[in-house]
Amino acid sequence: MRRLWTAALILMTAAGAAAGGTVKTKTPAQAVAAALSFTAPKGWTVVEYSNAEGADPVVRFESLADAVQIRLFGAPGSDYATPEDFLAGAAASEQGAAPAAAGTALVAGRKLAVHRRRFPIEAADPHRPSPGKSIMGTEVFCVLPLEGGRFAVLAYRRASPIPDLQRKGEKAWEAFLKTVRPKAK
Amino acid sequence: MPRGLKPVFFALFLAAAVSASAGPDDLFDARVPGALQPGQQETLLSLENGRYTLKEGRFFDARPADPAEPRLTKARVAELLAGPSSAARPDGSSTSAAGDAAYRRALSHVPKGTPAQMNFDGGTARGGDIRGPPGTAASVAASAAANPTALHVQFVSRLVFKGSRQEREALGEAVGLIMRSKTGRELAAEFVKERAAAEVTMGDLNHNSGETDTSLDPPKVTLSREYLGKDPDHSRVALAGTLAHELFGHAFEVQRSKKAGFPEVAHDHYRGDEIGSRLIDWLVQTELAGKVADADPKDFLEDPEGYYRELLTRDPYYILTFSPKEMKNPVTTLRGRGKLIDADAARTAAELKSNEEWRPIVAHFVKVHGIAKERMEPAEKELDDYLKWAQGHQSKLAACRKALEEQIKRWSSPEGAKEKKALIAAAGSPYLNGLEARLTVRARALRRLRAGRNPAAVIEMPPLVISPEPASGPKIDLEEVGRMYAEDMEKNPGHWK
Repeated sequence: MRRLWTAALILMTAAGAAAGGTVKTKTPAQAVAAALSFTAPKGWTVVEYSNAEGADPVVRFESLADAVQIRLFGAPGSDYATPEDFLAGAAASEQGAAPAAAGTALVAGRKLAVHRRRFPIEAADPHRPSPGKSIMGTEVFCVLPLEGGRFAVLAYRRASPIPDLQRKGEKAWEAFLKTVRPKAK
Repeated sequence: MPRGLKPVFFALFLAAAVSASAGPDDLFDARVPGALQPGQQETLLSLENGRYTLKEGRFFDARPADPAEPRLTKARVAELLAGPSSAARPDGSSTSAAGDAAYRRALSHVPKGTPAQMNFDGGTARGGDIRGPPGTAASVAASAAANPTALHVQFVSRLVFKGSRQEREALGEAVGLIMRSKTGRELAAEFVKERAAAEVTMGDLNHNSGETDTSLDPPKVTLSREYLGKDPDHSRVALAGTLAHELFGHAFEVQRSKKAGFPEVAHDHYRGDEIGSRLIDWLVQTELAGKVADADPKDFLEDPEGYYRELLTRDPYYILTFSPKEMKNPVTTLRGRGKLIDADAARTAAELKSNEEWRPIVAHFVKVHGIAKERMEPAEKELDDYLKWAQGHQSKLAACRKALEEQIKRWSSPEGAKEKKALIAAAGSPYLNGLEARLTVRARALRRLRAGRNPAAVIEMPPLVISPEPASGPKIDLEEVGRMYAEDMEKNPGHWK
């Protein structure tokens, strides 16, 4: 049985409040949970952080080479103000080229375009020139508009060029998308 | 002097500065061939009613800032030749008509219309000291933009170039290119203002484009000799970027951190040391050429925090680096990273196992379905490439784990307690906050330059090399094998029992 991620977040918030007395700032996971409800893949490891000095929270669920990722953008100070900016930027491109179209997905009753791109599975060493050829993984993602000009980028990433014979990650991604619901403010 | 000759003389001066370079704080020696261009000796001797005199190749100052050392340094001579503020009188007396004329002669190499002063924020520079009054970064940048030529002279005077003539010329050209970029000029102005210095040379580096020995005073920057043998169109901008990376990101920053009393251990373990330096490199290259010749910054730009996290298990150096927040609890942070290594090792092992599961599947389509083996080359190459990468990655993970365990042990022992304490104390220091702020500003600047609307964002990709299709049919990669496998499972389940 899958656990409800939002319920876990409520517990995390409560624990934070109990430990520190008051919760002053939302964690990245709390910020994501405030914007979306969803069911996380069961048993996957949770990773959370933010970019743009907290404006762009990231929550990722990882299992070996597979990851389901949620990124929020469009808040004041965000690296990407609009979905168009995001789709034209580094995070949506494959070595400078636009992502490939990869069909559509039904998310919260909306038919969203799915994009596909490859990414290097090993981060380039900032102290050395990039190797001519990297081992590439694959990411598919879609952009879900939210209230107030914000938007979520929902992604499935496989950090390996080797396809999974059991398609565990893809199945988890498909199941995850069915549970995503934007929250009204 | 005819205006057309001015750039020539300026170039000659720079070439002389590069070739005769011996250290900015070293004493100037007029006897060194090429140390002075025609007329420059007379110019110096005529300044301020004969304040400066020449004896046995050394210039003497009648009113030195330090009475114990009246002889002029190389930096001071360059400064005097560069502009009037540098020769400003510490006593505030007015400049004589003869002095003014001398200034004009000294400045004959400065392009017309360029304000001839190196006074960064509009105040009066102190005699014997090339730094102006304290100013904001913005005022430094504004002055640098207003007077790039004089800045170039002063910047070069802070550098010691070593190596063969060809190497010194390449390095001199790289400095010239740096000075054509906005980021380069701003940082050069700060470099000069803070009296930083560096030795710059070229050497045989093991697959490294550049390195800086920060244990030396001044730090020694070495750039790879491989740049000299590469396509000049590619390597000129890349060399300038690498020089900016090493010179400003490492050599300058370590001098700045020493002045601020920032402990060396914190400098060594700060995660922004490499990224901050690379950001300077990326900015300089993008400002010069609209692209980065030797690497793509998109890994960092697309998810900065995610990038830092991925770097951790890339190399034993990165597993021991911290954000300012993590620096407050270094041992706890390092203990937590053991799980990161565990997860990465488990992922790599699982993928290696999966890699081997695909080999019989590829072979099946050759043997059972009669697909020509040559068509399977892309799929087999992907499996081979991954195997090679994964084995190398496993070695790196082992090295990361060893480094992690050794560091935890060291900082948990009485011997390492002092070092750990210094690291923790540095975590909230104004210097570190300043470093982080600079990094953030540069990341934003690079993002703006690379934004979709800006032509600078266009990254030239190498042409796609498509090998001819074999007569037996199109080549098949691993993804296609995956589709064939799923289809065959459905159509011929008996094949897979």
